Amino acid sequence: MRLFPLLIPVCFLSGCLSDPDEDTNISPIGVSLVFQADLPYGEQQMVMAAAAYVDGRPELLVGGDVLKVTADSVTSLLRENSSEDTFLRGNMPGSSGQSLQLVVAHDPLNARSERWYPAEKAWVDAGAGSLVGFSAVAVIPQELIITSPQTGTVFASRNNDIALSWSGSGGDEVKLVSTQSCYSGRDVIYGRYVHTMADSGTYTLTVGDIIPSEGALEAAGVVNNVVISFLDLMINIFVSGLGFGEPRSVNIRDFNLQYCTLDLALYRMAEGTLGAGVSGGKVSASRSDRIRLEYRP
Amino acid sequence: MNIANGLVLIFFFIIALNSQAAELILLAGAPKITANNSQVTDEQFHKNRQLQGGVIWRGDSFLGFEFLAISNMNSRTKESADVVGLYELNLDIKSLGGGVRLQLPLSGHWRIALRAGGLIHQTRMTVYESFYGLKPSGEAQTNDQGQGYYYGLAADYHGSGSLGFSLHWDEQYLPDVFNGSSHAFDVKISGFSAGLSYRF
Repeated sequence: MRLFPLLIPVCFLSGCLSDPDEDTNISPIGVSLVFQADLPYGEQQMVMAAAAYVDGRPELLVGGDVLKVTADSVTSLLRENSSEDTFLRGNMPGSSGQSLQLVVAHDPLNARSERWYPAEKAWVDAGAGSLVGFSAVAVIPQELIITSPQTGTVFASRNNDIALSWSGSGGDEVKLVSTQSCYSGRDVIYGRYVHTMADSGTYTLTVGDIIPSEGALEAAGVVNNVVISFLDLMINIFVSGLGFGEPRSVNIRDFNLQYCTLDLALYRMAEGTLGAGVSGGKVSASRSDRIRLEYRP
Repeated sequence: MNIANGLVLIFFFIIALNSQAAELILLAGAPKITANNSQVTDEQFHKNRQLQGGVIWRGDSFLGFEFLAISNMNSRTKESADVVGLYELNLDIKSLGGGVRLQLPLSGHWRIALRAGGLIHQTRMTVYESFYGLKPSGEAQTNDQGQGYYYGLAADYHGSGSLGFSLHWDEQYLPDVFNGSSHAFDVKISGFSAGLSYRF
């Protein structure tokens, strides 16, 4: 009989959780917008995610109010939502240097355009909501390519250096996001590591920084339908398939670790500008690249 | 074209009423309504209620004609959700149909028939939308007219009196409803109906 691996979602480091004010600057008063667009290396399509807040609480846009992104006269609505969170996602073509404008618009027909029946023939005009007109702008930064280490590199010790280097420059900062899966042969545990650094082209950390021998484990993810961390936007987009769920604390010291895979991504972040009347939030565009490493002690 | 079809139906209806070999039928049923287009396959409309009334001209022993007025009411989709809010659809379809019956008398009282014919229809689509209480909910309607066809089986029982019993199984196809719109769809209505017939 085949034994399915036991999935134990955990977070290895305390750096997983961030202060929402620090990461997203969501204002307790007024309207806040959070928006990130990322164009991964080698891709033509940006991945975008955004959410709107009123008085610090996520605001559901309904009745034809939409988050609309325009870049070089191409417009895309963010319309993919999930039950796990309140932000909306979408895709559109993008390139470095492109200016992205996010606007809350009332576009009742386009918002219904993916329904299977002719929605333009019969629809309920609920009117524009109070958030319509708020906006933000971000510019996609220069391309980032990880030049070392090469994907597939295997590390044998927690003391080994992971000497990261990447091409290009000009970002306000670079975010390192690692999601790791460690296997015992029977069980799997997951974790993530996040670090922010200057866009200097190099950064060195050790395997042990990402996979500690002694783990103070914490919950991670999205709590109470509030995006608790700016990075959760992107992390949830790229690793939602990994199985982050109801977290369970596991001390890695007690785990019979055989090997780990490290999916490591670098984001060159370029912070954007919030439009008139927007009290808080954060808007940014990024270019990213990712590699997969392995730790096999 | 719809008007011409309607006039033809009325013409045959008058002939049938003047004939001494006619029956009036009144049937009720709850056939299933489904919609299909490039985006959905067999989208279900539940709780449809159908009434059929019509005239059957029996003709000779094996060939007859029928003229039907059909009303489908109260069907609804399940509630769906998207970035706009929650929505349900209702289809009310009224049809006039005329066709032939290939009849086979089974005994002195029973007769079965293979039936087929054309339809003209008027379809009203109602959309019910709500927005999680954040904006006022409401409904909106639109109409379309078109043509279709049907085929089916019938089993008729007539005792010695004028009153009889009929059981019908039909499949009605209404292609390209709301043709010319962004998402025209085909409608299929299939199921049983049963009721009474009155022989002149």
